[in-house]
Amino acid sequence: MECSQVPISPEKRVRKIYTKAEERRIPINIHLELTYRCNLKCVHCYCVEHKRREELTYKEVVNLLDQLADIGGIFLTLTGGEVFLRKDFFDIAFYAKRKNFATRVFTNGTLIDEYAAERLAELRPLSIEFSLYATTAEIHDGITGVAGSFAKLRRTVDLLRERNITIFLKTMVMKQNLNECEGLFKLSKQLGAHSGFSFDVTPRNDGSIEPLEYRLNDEELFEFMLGDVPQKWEYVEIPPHAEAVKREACSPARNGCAISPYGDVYPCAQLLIPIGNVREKPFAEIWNSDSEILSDIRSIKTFGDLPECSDCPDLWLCQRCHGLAHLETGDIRSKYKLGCDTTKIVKRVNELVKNRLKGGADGEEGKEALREANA
Amino acid sequence: MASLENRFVRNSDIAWRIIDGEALVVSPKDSLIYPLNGIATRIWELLDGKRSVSDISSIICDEFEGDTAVIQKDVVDFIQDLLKAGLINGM
Repeated sequence: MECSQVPISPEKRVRKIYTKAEERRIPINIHLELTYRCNLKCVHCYCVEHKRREELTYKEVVNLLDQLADIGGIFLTLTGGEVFLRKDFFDIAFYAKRKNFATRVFTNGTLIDEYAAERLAELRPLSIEFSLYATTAEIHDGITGVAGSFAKLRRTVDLLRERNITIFLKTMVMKQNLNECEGLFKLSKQLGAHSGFSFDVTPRNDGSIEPLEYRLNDEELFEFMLGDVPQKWEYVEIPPHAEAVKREACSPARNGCAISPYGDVYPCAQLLIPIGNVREKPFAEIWNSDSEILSDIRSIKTFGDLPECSDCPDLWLCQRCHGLAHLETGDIRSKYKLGCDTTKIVKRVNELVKNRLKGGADGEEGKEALREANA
Repeated sequence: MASLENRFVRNSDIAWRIIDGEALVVSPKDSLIYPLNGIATRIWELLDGKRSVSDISSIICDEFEGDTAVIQKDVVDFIQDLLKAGLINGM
């Protein structure tokens, strides 16, 4: 009998559970969007509210949580829109706790007062995750479109810190706040919060591309990736192509999914192809169906399964997202401009770092490497 | 300390799910994940505050093969580990 070995986060065993979840199609990660309503007007936001559709009611949400628990869901992200606009948010969150979910909450932090902070402390979620765009009100509020949102968020962070709640401060890096990254990184440390940075401004859920005007251009992205925040780029050795092509691609609808406020089930939060609606069918029936689209999505395992990408010499550095490919081209397996452009920048950065390792960063060798990468 | 007559209950702040016979236990306090094997999962299920450590040992002895004294010691040690990690509370 070997029950006495209680290992603390032994990575191999956790990985085994994730692999098992993938193989057995257990949706252990659930991204549950409770509303698309929001009190902020962030310039880059991808959410589009469907004013004619009704959000799932409390009764429908708890019924869904029962089904998700039964099928093996454990990591639950409650997100929006702004979740605190739902008057029943805490009823839902505490129900999830009673069903033994490990819950994360994504919020803009502007609607949390002392009472809500106290309830969050009782809830004891894995983390509360905020979007913070700058160290100053001027830039942050400029992005959220609402004066005072920075001050309210800062107050909320203090309320949660006092209650020892794990906080993530996440930043979408755009043209307006590229120079804020270092300050935000320091601020997070100072506040005892985790920080996270992303540059993937995406089209809206309805396909409109207005948010892309705020996306970093090639040179700005290059500058961001070469910077120290969140960490210095470390050179990535590219294996021979025969090996590289076996690289695992993203795996939506295998160990997790996303569910919209209206009950639509998606393979992931970014891949917006509805595979069913929980108002029409039980979740398990949707998840376990052998529909053509679901089978097709699940059949993508490696870059070798992507005909337009499998010959690419840079696929080892590619951060492709099937959802963005679908949004841009209508085809989940297609290559897409946003992804390919980003990979070119990653390649440039990788080459430059390689050269620095050789001690040639400022010399002809470095310039030559950059010319090659650009070509 | 866990002893045979004590009763323990799973900490209500702890998230957990049994996936294909093995529990995944998540502690929000420190974001640690504890994957339990089959026997440990069964003990975890039995930690409902109603059964003593001795009751749990007896059930495990009935359900799994092994020397009774060794099983009893392992169950006590395991429960002690859970207690130390804050995953269960004494009644």
